[in-house]
Amino acid sequence: MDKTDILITNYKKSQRRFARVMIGLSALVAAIFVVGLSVAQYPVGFMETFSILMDNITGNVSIETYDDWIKNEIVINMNVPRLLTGISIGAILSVSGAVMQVVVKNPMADPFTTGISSGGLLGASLFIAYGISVVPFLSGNTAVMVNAFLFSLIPTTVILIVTAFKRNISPTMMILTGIGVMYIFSATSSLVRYSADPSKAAEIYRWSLGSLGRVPWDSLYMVIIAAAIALIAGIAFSSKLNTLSQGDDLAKSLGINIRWFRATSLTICALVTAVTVSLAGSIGFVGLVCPHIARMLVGSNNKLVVPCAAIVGMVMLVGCDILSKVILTYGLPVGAVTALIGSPIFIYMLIKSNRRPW
Amino acid sequence: MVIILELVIQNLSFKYLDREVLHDISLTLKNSGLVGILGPNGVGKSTLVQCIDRILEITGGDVTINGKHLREYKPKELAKIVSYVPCSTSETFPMTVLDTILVGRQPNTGWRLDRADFEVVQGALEFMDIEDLALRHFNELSAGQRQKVMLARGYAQHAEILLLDEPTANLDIKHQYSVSKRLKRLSQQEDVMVIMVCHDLNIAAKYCDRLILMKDGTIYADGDPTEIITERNIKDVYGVDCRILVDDGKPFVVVNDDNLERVSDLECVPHSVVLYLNA
Repeated sequence: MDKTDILITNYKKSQRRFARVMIGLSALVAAIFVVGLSVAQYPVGFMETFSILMDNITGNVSIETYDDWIKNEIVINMNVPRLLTGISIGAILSVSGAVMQVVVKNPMADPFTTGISSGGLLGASLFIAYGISVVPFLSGNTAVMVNAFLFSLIPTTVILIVTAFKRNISPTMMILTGIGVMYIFSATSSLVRYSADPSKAAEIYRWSLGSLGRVPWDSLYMVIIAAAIALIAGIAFSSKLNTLSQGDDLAKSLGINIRWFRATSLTICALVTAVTVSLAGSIGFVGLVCPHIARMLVGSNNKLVVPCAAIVGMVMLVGCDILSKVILTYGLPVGAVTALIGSPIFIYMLIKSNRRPW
Repeated sequence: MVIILELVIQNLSFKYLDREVLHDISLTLKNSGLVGILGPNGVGKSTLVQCIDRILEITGGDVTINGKHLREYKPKELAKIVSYVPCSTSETFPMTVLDTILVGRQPNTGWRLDRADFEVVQGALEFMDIEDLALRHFNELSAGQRQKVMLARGYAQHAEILLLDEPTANLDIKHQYSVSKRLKRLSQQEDVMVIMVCHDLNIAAKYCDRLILMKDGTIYADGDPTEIITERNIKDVYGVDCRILVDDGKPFVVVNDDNLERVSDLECVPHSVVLYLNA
């Protein structure tokens, strides 16, 4: 066995931790999913849930009583889509955060510090309060969604336009541009909410809290596609992300067109995050913190960080969503619960970590 | 002599905003060898090196490598010919030494790594004598160890032209000399054109085959070490009085510090300007 073989063996050994972490977290996701099927404000028995699920899969649903109907409704039309939404959105937010943090070289970057959620909120507020829809002739939820989607793309568009005109823009300037736009948008949203009539203001507020329960079966495919895009793009980009994380000059010297790469990766992150914002409102925390948890678990090689971040995001978001349903009977906003439960875990990991990660 | 590698710079100039950083630089380098670029702080040494690797776009003149204009090279194609090691790196999220060096393989491989990549990395680790650091984290290393890892990464790129910005800046005296000696050996044994920005005149004089002395954004003198390292040149360029001794046929500079206050009269561009240019 020559030295190269020893090196390869050691390299593989150093990545075994990654395999262990991924297997552990995948098992956790599966467990959370199984438990999550039966957790609801209206209790459905654990075994009952599975018979309902099997009936639906095999196609012989027999609804005889009102009780049967409501249980079927809860499991099939509420819990299942909600879990799938949570898994997809957790992965989208966490992977986008991981990519953006490397692309703009800032550990504080996430899909929200770059203004995406504030754009979504403004879009939603404008329609809820005044019926202003960007695309004409839309109404109800569709209009809110389309508005939120389009508005949440504006901050990234502004960043890209500024980048196109100012050749030597630094990543920090890019993120500060996003923050500038974010403040304009949040201020405008506040004004809209302030001037709207109270019932509409309350609706805007509810929208702004974010929830995984708003996505019905027929729009579920959108988040699933967005999650697939986020994951595939994140993994495809990971080799270049490794290069970029060592400095712009070096990345250029290694043949990467960094302006083009930044623009493409930010655009993809903005698009997939806009999908989540338009469907579920703004859910903070996951995009910022889950990538860091992933780095603490598997190191900073982005080929490992991206898949790990995806699965950490799933665990965090879906796990907390289930907890938010059981803590109080009327249910809590998932964004708040995620931050309340996730932050102490995150701070504990920061203190506990022996290495000085970054 | 058969020419297998040729770097020609004609009337190169580089302007940043309204400030002319480099002007009238003409230079022809052929085949392998260790070339030192000398000159005071802010004279444009790093800028010149970055222009050769097209990290900065030249604003005038021409650079050709093997008869082909720099701007005609695709970025990835250029990355296979020219490799660049900056004088310091700041990694946002530092990886292991092995992963850091593997980044140097980026132009030659895609996403997947194969055995050949690890063979090159093993060679790079041996070249810099840092095999024991392979699985350590980059941010746990000392400044000198980091510098060696960066050099190993530059080596792993297997380019024909290796551009190094102060490769010995953070090293202790033993490693300054051992690294310089390795670079010399690399240029001789593996036919690599190594171009290094250097502040240590004695190291440059001892190991380099050719020295380029810069002043005020252009080349002041160009030749072999005995031609370049002279009392007069050092006085003109650095504003330092010195005596030149000769050791083993190579010049050795001994600085006379009587009139060193005058150094402050020199028009020095602050380092921050160089950093700004790099951004």
